[in-house]
Amino acid sequence: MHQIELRNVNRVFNKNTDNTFQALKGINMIVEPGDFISIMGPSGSGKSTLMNIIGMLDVADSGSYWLKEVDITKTEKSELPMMRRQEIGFVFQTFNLLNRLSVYENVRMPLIYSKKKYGKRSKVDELIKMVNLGHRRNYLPVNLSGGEKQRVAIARALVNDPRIIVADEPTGNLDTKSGSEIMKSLVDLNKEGRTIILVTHDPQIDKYAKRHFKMVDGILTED
Amino acid sequence: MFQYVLLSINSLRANKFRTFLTMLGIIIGVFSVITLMAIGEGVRSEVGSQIEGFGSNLIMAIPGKIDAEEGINPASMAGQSTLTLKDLESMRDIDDLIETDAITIVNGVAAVGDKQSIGSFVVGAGLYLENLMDKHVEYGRWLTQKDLDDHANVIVLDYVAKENLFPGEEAVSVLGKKVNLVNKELEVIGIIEQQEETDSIFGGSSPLDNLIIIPNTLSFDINGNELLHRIFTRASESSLVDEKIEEIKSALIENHDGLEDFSLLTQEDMLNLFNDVLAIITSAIGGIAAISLIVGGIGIMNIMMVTVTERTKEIGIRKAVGATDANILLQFLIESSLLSLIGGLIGFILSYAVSIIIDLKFGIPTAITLEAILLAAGISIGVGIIFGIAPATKAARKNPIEALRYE
Repeated sequence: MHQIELRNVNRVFNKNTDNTFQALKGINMIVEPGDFISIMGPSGSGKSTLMNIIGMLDVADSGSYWLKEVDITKTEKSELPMMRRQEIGFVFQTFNLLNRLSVYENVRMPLIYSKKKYGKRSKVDELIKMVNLGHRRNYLPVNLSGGEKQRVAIARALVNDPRIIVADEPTGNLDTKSGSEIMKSLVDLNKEGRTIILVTHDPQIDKYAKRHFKMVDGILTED
Repeated sequence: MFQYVLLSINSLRANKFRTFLTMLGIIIGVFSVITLMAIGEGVRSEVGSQIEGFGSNLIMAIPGKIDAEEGINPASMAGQSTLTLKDLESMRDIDDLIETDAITIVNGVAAVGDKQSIGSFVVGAGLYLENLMDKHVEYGRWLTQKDLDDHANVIVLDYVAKENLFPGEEAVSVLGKKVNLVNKELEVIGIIEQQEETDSIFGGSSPLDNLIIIPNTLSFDINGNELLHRIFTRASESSLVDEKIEEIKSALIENHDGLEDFSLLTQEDMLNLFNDVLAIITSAIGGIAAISLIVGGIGIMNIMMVTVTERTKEIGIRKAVGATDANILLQFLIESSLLSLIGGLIGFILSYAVSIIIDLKFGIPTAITLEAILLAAGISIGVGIIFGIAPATKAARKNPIEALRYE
């Protein structure tokens, strides 16, 4: 059984209008547990759309998406958030932290919606220490550097212990040194057995991955 | 649920001033409703017990036509009193009526030197008012028939009036001293026993606790007419009340040339009338308070709509980390309810404080009941939920991808 299997996935925006745009064209992709995948491609090629479908923030118009043994394209929309928080951790280019919450509160946030017993303080603190931000525990994001913010985002992505990390341009807003630190963190997570699916257009970042895909005009090919 | 409340508190604290302004409508609305209920309940209870204290066989004649069933026609109450000495005598001639007496309101201020008894209720009375009003003389004596016959320059003070005119003096030592009233020098003949503060069917803040009594004949001289403002009597038995009312009515209509320009009220009528008046006032002010609450609710809805738009990105982030539509709906609904509930709580605390001040400072009794507390809480939460549904639904329906892109 594959961890992820996409079969002939298509995604069309603005259907039945003059602005119809097919972002994904017959995507086929198999992801095994422990993979470290990078998807490279120019802006507008459909990388983020693919990430959103894998992360269950969006749904394919046709084709099928299997996550472990579940066909996501046939799953009730209301069940997707639960699947998402169990299986997927997101890391975004713009960090997407809540500015009025502290580092601790940002990392803890997904637990509020989790079926798991809320209040695993030790787990949250453990993750904050793991990303070397123990000394910034009560800081607001506004007082953190870009690299630190992304490390908070990684800790938040891990709090529900997902097996897949989806990272959309995680180093896009960082300097080289911070970018390298973030990539090192993702490599460490991969070594723990987590699957990393990374979108980038930076060849230096692409080098960290084990499997390399290219996306051009909505068509995905593996190198 | 507790976590959502914490989240909401966190959000509301982020914009303290805006939160306060948003709450203002609810604060004012709840404050109005609770203060009004507190005053209404307090006055109803106090005045009700006072009226009941008159006894079930009391009959009171007042000028102007009031229909106890249909309420007061204010126009009929305007102008001079229509009750005369002849009416008093006619009522005294009716069998089985006892202690029939009248009061005449005198427009004057009693003074001793530079001390004035401001706010005193100066009335001309006869022999029986002492019993009818339960105002008993502790030192000296009440008015006598001789005082009435002689238009005697005598005066009876209650304890409050005595303290205004002779502050700190022993009540007994005041007897025989002179008091000026409308260019007349009156001798103090009696001091009424000190009583707990009460409220009056005459309205206002306890005029019966600041009472000055002179012979009714003297009050006629001062007023320049012999008109009476109230006539009180008692049926010797309560079963006779209805029958006696009919007899009084016939006698007075005859005196008034067939015109029924007066009203006869029993204890029950007085209670009903009082409750009717209170209900009209309560409804009117309650309506204004309700408008305030609706305006407050619209204010909450408006600000929550703005908040949802401002926090679009946050909604996207929360959905990305696993929040369901229901989670988001609940979060914003709790936030609007909390906003309204805190507003209601502030309004309630303010109304509680103001009720105490009204009671202590102005002597108007107040009573905050459990019903009022539950109403305040219910209104607050209800307004928060009703006016929070639209913004919360808008938040819950946001597309997570578009929300994440929002800047």
